[in-house]
Amino acid sequence: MDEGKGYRLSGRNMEEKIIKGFIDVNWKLCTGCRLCEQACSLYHEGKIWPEASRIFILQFDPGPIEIPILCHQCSDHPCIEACPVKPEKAISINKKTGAVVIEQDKCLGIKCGRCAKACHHETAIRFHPETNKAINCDLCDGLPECAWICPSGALSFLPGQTFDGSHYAKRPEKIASDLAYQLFPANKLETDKRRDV
Amino acid sequence: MSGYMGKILDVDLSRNSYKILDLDMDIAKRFIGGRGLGAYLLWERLPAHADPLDKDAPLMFLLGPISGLLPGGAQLCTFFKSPETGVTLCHSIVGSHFGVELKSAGFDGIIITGKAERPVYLKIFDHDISFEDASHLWGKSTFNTEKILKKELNNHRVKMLSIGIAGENGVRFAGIQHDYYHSAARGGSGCLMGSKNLKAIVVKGSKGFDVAEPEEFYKVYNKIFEMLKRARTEERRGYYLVRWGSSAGSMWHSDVSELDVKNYREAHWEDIDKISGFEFERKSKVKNRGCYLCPFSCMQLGVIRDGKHAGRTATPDFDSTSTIGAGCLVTDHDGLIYLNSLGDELGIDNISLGNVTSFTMECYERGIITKDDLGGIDLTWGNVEAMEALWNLIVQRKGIGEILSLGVKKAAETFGKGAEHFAMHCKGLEFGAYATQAKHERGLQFAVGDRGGCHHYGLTIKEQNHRVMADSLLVCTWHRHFITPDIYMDALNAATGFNFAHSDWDLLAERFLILARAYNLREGIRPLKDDILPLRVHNDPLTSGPQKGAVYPIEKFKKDRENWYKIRGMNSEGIPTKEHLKELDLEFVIETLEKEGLYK
Repeated sequence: MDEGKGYRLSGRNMEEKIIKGFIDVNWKLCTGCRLCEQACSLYHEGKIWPEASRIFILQFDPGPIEIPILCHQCSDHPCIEACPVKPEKAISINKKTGAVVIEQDKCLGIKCGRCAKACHHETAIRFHPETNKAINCDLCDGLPECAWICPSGALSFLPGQTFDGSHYAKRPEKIASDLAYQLFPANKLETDKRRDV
Repeated sequence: MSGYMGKILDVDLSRNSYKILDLDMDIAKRFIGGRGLGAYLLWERLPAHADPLDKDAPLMFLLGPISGLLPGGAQLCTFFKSPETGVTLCHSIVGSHFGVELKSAGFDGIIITGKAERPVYLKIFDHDISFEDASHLWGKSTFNTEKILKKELNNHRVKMLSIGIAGENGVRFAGIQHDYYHSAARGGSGCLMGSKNLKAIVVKGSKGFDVAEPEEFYKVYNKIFEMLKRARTEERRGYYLVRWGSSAGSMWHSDVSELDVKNYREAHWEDIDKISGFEFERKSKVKNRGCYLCPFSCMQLGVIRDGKHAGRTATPDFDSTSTIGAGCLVTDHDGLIYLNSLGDELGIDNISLGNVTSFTMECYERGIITKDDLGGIDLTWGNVEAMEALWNLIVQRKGIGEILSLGVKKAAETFGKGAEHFAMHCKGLEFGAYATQAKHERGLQFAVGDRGGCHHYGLTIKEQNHRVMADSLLVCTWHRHFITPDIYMDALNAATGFNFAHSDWDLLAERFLILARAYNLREGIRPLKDDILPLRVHNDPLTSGPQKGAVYPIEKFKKDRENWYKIRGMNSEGIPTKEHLKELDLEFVIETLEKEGLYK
């Protein structure tokens, strides 16, 4: 755990009571501003580093629509299953926060990449741009900075575990197309018929 | 290196080669970035009186020391000599995500010179740079170019700039599009990019950003974030930007009689409710979209719900709602949304395009041009289909489109018959959506602005300084209503380790503005002859609205202009005095201006 490595923009500290919980994503409220990426990388890396953020935004057509991607802490943990490191796996559950954490020293990195491939969300585990080790959302040790900073209300930290994370962890393309179906008139999308001249 | 990434990418398309230059930190400290640095680099790199479309004319994309680092720091400054005016320098600012991605790739800017043999796009993945074939993209709209490239690269996080058909065909007011709806369009950046056979620039970076004094910097960061977050609900401008976006401004500008209505003939319009922000919010709005790190996210993404263009998405803003909508008396809401989106897709400056269209409509109404001249188009006020047909001619530069693609100044010269009277431009750049008969300070701004009839120059000295500094630091100019200069100076110092005093804000701003003026003087602008307004502003009193009867009398205009020259350290002919140039650390321009015969 890299607690204390970086800055908490929220100013909170670890003396606050840690409650197990999860981050809810209300996809249609996301404006794509990426303040979450910034707050995340500041806490984990000590500087602004969008590519090293544990949460990140993908952009899809039509719209475009922005989808925040993060680890939803599924209870069946396909990532832990997939981790080949022995005798103790590199991925484990933090007892205090309930979050899936990846021990950077043990991780074999992008060359292995099995956890990322096993992920229900397909993209929630990414690789650090410098170390190439697997990284994911560890709920900022229980006080998630992204949910604190999100100005549009797309991200919220909810205490307790109402739903299994796997309900959230769908393929990003599917989330985007479902959202487009809701936001734009169905079957009338002109985007593929657009003229070039 | 702190704040800055310390590298500039210098690309020569003629040779398919590039160099990675070190950023000269002395120059960086003097000119900061963006609009300040751009003016300096253009002065140095482009010989005097060069053709703006010369193959060696630089097209620059510049960042600043705090861009990408704090809320509002999403901007990218495009800098070049304007192909539309032919003489002035031009900056064009675009928000969204390209700037931060370029910074992540490790660059403070890109300078593009030369001309590629065939259409290419430039791919920048960190310091891995390549020239890729773009022949399959040539002829594609900006939207489709983005879509195709994202698919080809199989990456949902790349950011790109691209030109559309207008830029390829050399329309003088073609723009560069980014992220579908964001444009760096004024002055013809897309025209210059097209002349270089450069279809797009794709960038993806993976670096993090260092700052000199992290503790101090993140304290300022938090202050800015908190102020902006509070402004979302507690400040009227913040509230309306979040709720309706800038297009709602067209109602308020109509209320106070300063909106472009009917090619600037009027300034107040009864029908504004049919097309402006409230109507859009009720009928079409889907969600807010934001620039990088902005808590406002003022772009209003909407969709046309039914009819011929159902399913088309758009994010109309104030400028296009006004010039294409009120300027051309369009009352069809969905039609306006469609045109707005079409302009982005064609890759054209919607402000100039709206101006050119309303100017042509007036010429048609007055019989200066006929239906035959227009190739059979019945270009009556508010006729959306006719406007679309005209735009097709303009972007393809066919028929009357050939003349109109040069902008209203050249078109008026060609048409004659008194068309100059209502060709609403200054120095060749069309007005930015404000009628100025009643709001004289807006008229003065158009006349003295460094890129021509520019709505972005600033009304007061304070505003002008703030805007040029924001464009050099590369922070959003809307945020000037919420964040004070001192806070930005603290951020600049903490990010870079410079030790500017708060009062240096005004000094730097004045330096950049005067350098821009010196550049224009070098290129042949003569203030008393060129810092002028079209006769409509002085001679056509408003006939309706609360300011009925108002004009900007020419004597008052001349007095206001002279007063502005004086405040800005210039003589009565609008030439900066040598003493003032020295005070601003701009001695290097004096010799050139002397050669131009400006100090007789």
